[in-house]
Amino acid sequence: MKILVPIKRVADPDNANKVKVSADGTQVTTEGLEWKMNPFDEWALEAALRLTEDGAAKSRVGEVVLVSVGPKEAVATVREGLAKGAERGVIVEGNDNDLDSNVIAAALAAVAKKESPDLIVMGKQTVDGDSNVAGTVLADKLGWPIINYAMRIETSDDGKTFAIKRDLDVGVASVKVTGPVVITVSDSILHPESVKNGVTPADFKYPEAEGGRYASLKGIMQAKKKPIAEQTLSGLGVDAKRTVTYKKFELPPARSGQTTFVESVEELVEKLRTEAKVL
Amino acid sequence: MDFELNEETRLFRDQFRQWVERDLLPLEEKEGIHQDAPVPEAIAKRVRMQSADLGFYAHHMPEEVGGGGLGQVVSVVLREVAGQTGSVLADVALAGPEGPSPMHVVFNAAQREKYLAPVIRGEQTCCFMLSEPGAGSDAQNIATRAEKRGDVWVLNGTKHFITNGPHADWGVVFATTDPSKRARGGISGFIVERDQYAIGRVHHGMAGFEGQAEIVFEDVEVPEAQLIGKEGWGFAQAMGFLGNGRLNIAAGAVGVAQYLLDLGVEYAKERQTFGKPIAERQGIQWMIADSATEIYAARNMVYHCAWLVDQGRDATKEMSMCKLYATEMVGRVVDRMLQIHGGMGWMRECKTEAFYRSLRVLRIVEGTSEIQRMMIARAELAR
Ligand SMILES: Cc1cc2nc3c(=O)[nH]c(=O)nc-3n(C[C@H](O)[C@H](O)[C@H](O)COP(=O)(O)OP(=O)(O)OC[C@H]3O[C@@H](n4cnc5c(N)ncnc54)[C@H](O)[C@@H]3O)c2cc1C
Repeated sequence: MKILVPIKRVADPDNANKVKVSADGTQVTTEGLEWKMNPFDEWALEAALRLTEDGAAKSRVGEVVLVSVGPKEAVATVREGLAKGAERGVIVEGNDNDLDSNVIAAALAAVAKKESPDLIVMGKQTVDGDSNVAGTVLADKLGWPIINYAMRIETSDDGKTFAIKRDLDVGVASVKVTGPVVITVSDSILHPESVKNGVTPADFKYPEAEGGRYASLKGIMQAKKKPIAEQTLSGLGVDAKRTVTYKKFELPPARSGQTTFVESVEELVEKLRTEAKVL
Repeated sequence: MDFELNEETRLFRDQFRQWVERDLLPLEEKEGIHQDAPVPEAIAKRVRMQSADLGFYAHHMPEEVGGGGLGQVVSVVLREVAGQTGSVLADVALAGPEGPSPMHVVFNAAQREKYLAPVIRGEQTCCFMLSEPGAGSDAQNIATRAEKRGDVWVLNGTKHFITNGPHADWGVVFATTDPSKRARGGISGFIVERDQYAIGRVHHGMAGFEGQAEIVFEDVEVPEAQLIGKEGWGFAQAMGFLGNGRLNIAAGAVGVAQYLLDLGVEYAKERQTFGKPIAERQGIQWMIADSATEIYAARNMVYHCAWLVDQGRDATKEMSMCKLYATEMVGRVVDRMLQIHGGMGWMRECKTEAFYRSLRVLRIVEGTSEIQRMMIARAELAR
């Protein structure tokens, strides 16, 4: 099974207080920020790695190709994914400020056509733009089905067909789909038994985790030798234009930072209703 | 000059930090683990083995013994992160005297296989037995004797303050084999197994728990196969590696100092007196400024010294300087940050309180501040 996993580096969401807006409000200034793999992409990568390995024997049985559209520095994020187990990487160079979900989807579609994977697994959104559209637009450009918010993925025929459970506000939807397909994942995909690939023993459980797997030192050293291909938007024949422009950025109002102690749940509910007015 | 860490080191560091923050800190919270109680052995073992699996635990050991083969810069980076997170389990994950040490590389093939390999995998732990009731700073004065009788060595003597003594599967012990030569070829190192020695008194320190033990040898017969290196040279060889430990302590101190400064800054911005956050008072600002400046100085000393080591240069004096400066610096920083917290800073529920006690020992272990000064002065005066 061959899987394409798009990944993006984002400003570390745990350091969100370092995010600053330029004086004229036209852009978010990235200086001094720490970068991290978008958490949703980390989960997508975890799902893809589980689909392409024997989890019990810890051996690879398929191929995961990472693709990142963004600045050259994103190579560090791709390398991290390779260190976690992916086979190859592709970087499509582009300045974050010139990209929107439409351009990204067009670039990913171009890479997908070259690579012809059995499926594309990606995060449902990034934690910076929070748009939640790239996956759907990509599927549209490829003419593939899109299955959003996957919390469980099963295949027993090496990626020809999939049984997927979708994590919806109203409940869980079960779907069967024939590949190739675009799947976006929710955080429930980290559940110890969320991925079944017909290779890893059916009773195997992955450890409970708050995120995807860590890159081990061995993985980091192996990743140094794994190939990362460099592409350009024009080289891929992508002439998609931005369809979204940002008019103005504003920081949310600062929190007052006040703490009030309450004696009982009743008092808390009362205060939330009358003082904080959030209930 | 290039002060950037390379890509692999950054990635390795970030994975370590993520692991500590995502897995170890919540585990500590859940299990109620804190500085004043021993980490339950089962949890410590699990953390060590996971750390070994991810490559953190033995990152500093040569590849020929199953380590990661990484240099001193990587070690100080990891130690600093461990300190910065304020995590107790992060220290377990990187190991002190209970884990693999470059000193163990002098083991022969059979010793590596039998003793070192399980420690590198995190399955077993060890200890380092040098200090005695009558010999601490002047370690070459040890009274423990090893005498050859037939084809075994017979050990007699008492060691004390031995970290991990009660739990270790084996230890490295130093004993005099030729009293006339002492440090110049008269002190040998032996590997001793847990059932070959007795645990005496267990000490309870100012911070922590019963972590240091007395180890008693009474006519203990040790086969030749457990002699480390050549007879008479174990001590000299071991001393050659003490510097790395000193630098690691300094790096940890830098990390903890940063952790404490962050706590102090956060509290100073929140705590209001006389209608204003105390952070707006110059008296508080100076404590913050001095601490930040001293952390910056110590961090650069530590990184530069680690770089010297990785270049293969002699950095004995610099290691002493780093240990001396960083451990005294963190003592000043914890004092100031406790002061910023006022009465709360002294209470058990505030992190500053436990650190105020636990950090004190850094000026004593692995060579006291005075011994570091003595060595630095010797190097200066020998010029
Ligand atoms: C928590 C803890 C863990 C330890 N773990 C271990 C371990 O795992 N293995 C092990 O072998 N040991 C261990 N030790 C022992 C430690 O290495 C010694 O305590 C340390 O070397 C100091 O020796 P001492 O206590 O005998 O002090 P002493 O050597 O008696 O020193 C007393 C005082 O005199 C000063 N002094 C000594 N000589 C001079 C001099 N020439 N000039 C000026 N001042 C001098 C010292 O700085 C100190 O202030 C541990 C100690 C502690 C507290």
